[in-house]
Amino acid sequence: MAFELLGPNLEDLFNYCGRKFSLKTVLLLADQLIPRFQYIHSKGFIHRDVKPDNLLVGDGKQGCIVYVTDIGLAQEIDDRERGGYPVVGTVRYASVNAHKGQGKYRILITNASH
Amino acid sequence: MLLTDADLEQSPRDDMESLGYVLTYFIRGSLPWQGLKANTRKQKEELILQKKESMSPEELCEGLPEEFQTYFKHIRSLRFDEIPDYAHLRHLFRNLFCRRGYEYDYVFDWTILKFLKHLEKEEASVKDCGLP
Repeated sequence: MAFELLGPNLEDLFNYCGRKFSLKTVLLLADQLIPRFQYIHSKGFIHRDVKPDNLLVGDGKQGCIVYVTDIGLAQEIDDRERGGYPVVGTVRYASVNAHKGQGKYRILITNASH
Repeated sequence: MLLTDADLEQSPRDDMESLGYVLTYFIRGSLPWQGLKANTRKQKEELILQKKESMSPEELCEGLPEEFQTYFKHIRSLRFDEIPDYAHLRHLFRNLFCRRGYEYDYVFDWTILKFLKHLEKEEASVKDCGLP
């Protein structure tokens, strides 16, 4: 497991900047974050708790890089063995689907002879 | 025997919808479902959901460049298991960035603020040392 020293999260920086970011800052962030999530998804993970507190900028010279952290809630897309994942995450940023808990319903067809 | 296990899952679409809310929060300063009053946590969640569902991308992104609407329209058009068009979404925002004439210099709002504070400190320390 690799650790890197990280700087403040985007919620802290948002407060620092008077709780408003310019369009330029938002677009710079989007340009890094969209491919970041593409990568996470391509590896078969869903983050499930995307929020400013989980997005950290690097420390020192890495200060212009935005990192996605706290994938504690992440689940592997194809993990069909474990069950009972609660719909968790931060309500403010939760998707409508996450609210409803109407994601994909898993249907187990079990043979009665088992 | 047929067993149905209502196992709740999320997909890439959900992460990207949340990311859209985060970006909108940053540019608007807040989201329309903040500050809703309810007695219980459950009621509050219900109110937030209602608000989210009742708002069209146009309403949510009122006053913002139309790329934000387009982002939400794309995400909302996806089925559960459809993969978002990441390249399309990134291009949307990149084109907007170029059209506005911004420079890709990694200078964020906080970079400027830190620099200004640094300058203030330097000026203060020059004054403090009492030199003419």
